[in-house]
Amino acid sequence: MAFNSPEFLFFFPCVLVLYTLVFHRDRGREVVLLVASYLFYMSWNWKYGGLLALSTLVDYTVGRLIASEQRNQVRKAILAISLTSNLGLLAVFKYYNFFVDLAVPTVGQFGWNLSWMHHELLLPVGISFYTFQTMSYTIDLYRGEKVLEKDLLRFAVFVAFFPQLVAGPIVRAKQFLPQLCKLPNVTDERFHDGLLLVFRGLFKKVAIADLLATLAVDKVFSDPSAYSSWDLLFALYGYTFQIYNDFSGYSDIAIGLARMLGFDLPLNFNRPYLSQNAREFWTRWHISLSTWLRDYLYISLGGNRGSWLRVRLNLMVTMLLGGLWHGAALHFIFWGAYHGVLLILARSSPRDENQAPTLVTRFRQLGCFHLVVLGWLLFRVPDMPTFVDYIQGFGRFSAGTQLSGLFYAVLACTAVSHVVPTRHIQLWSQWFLARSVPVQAVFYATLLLLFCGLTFEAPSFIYFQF
Amino acid sequence: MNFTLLRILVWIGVYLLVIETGLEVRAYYRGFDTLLFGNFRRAEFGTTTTEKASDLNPVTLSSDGRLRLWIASSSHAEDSYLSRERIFPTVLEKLLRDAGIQATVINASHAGMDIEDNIADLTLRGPVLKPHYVMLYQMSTTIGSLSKELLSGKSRNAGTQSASKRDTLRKDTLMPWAGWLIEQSATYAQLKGQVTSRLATQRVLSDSLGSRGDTEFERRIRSLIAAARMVGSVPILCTFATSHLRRDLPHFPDSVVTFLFKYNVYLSLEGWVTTVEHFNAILRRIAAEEKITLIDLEHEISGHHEYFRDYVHFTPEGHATVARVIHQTLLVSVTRDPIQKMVMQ
Repeated sequence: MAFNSPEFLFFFPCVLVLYTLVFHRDRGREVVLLVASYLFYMSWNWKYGGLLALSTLVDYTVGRLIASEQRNQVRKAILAISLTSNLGLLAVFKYYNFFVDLAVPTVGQFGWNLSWMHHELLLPVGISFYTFQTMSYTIDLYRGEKVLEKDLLRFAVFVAFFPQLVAGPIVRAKQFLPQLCKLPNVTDERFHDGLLLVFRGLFKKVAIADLLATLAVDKVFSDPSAYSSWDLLFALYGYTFQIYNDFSGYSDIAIGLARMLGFDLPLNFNRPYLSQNAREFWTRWHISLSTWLRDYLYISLGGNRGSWLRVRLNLMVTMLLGGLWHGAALHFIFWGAYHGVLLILARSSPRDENQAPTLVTRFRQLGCFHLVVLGWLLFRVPDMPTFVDYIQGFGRFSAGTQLSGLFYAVLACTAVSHVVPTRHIQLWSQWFLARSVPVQAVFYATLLLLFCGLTFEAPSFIYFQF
Repeated sequence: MNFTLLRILVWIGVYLLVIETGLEVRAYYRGFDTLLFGNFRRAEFGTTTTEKASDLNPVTLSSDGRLRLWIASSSHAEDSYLSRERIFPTVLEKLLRDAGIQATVINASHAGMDIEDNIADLTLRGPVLKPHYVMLYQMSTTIGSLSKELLSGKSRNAGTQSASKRDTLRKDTLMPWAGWLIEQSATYAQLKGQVTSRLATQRVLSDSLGSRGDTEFERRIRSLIAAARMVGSVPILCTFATSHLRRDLPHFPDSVVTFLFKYNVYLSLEGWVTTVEHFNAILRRIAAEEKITLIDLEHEISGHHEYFRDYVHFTPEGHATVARVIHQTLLVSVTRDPIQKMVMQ
């Protein structure tokens, strides 16, 4: 049940009604949120509800044990249980087949056939998100942060909270658990603001991301050799804005839904394509993941401390694992390595303390944007031979286009909207939210009809697969 | 938090309900099934005169000594726009009777059925109704379902599935009725027809279903032949007729283009023409290999715009011509056929 599915259109209002009924009862609120979250998650595959419960129980128990233990070696051993179980889940469901695939040709040279070792288990939706979320909880406790949650029900809601369960933002315990302990902050203003954010996210997903994908991107990437260099370039631009609108749209919906329920989730995107270098890009793109990787991986590896070489190595390892987090495939690892190189180069260039002239800023933004675009090619291709095909297609320097005017129009609109200053969007939001409820409802009803008309089929969000 | 906060959701619901009600009234009086008003009373409006398989009394039918011809088709043989006397199964039955053949045409056709639905229907009801002949006239719905399957990278969706298949697939979802409810609404139908179909022309569309499409179509045809033989019937195949041919490609009228993209957002016009040509060639080859009677409707009526109200559905003249062509072929076939001799005795 994705946010853009018909089921969710009925599911969320039902949850809202029940939630309103029990709003002033702490336990009732938590029970409604937990049941709704598990129903939401198990709508993909009911069996994977068990995995979510297992992850919750293990980390709840580990958290309590760490908090009650003073001896450092024992605390470390207990933490290892959490890391092993969470990373074990990822290893089994996400990476096992990938490494078997890598091993098969190698050991095949010695006459051994390991292809029987493949498993047919489906990757549970959102496993990378909730395992990272629960790991951050136990690591924070190990580091001495006061985030212990003794109430199992409340902890289970933290892990399974349905707006951000399957594709983030990855929420830290210290951000979310305190909100569960008090009456959620639901006001008329916040409720309507949240609803507007939900529709903004749906618009990004359905009217931009899916449209770009179905009008051109999916077709061009399925057979790059059939298109001119011009089309390949614009399909790549198309994918660049598709993935942004898809993922930031999901984040907007998640943040909006949470706000309607009275909770605040962290910002996950901040106009990333306006970054001037890779370092800035990673402070604007998938912020909850990049800060997670920084806090729990990069810093654990030593961070900025150590020799010149060691710091660069830490950066590269962090980005390689960041790439692997996105999927068990070589092109994701190469994508991570590519961004590792960009980050190392950005780190090596001197920081410009003064405000650069506008022209220089624009030039840097344009340069950084195109470096990121090139990275998306590595990210999008199904395999490396397709990447080579695509690059060879660029090399043909052929003109002519098979893509429609509508595709170029949508691409241009989304590119322009990306550079519209945030304050303009806020002004428009304030103006809209000042309208009466029936007027706002007309707008939303019209948008729902538009979404229905724009949907050829219902593609799921790109980041669900991670 | 209190219930007054939710009033905006109620308003949204009210607006959508008002739109849906208006469109349902309009749809109902144009002869379509609707959610609020239920099934349109087709008997009064006038659809095929020959009963649907489900309406027939198997006891009287299988013992009345008449020749029973089963027509496995979809919306081509079940037309909501025409009176019951004017669609080809009815006209065919009359022609056969006028020629002295006591025949009952069993119209086992319903809008949205594809070959797999026809097979399922035949397997279910065929052993009871015992048709002597099973005639297949069917392609565009199957092209629709194959396009979805092969060109979208997804399995067949609800839009091209029979109700039973939809139900099976949706058992796993949390609220199986939600998607069904939306898809059955008049608003949804309008949006698909007016918005999605126009947008589809802006996509990069496929020019064929590829060899997998050919293989899969052949598999389905052979399955239907096997299913017909399993119930003791003689299969008859028909090539598929369309209003426009390759020679018309640059000049397909807007109405035809909109119609095609309303039901299939994956194939280009070139793709449609190519696929119909390929599939008709497959039908001819299978008929020759299996020594099955083939009614070449493509040869007889394709390209005659006056016989079609869109790309694939017939006008009254079209229905009459189709009935006449089938009748002529059947006469030749039937008079040589031991089944007919047995029936006539």
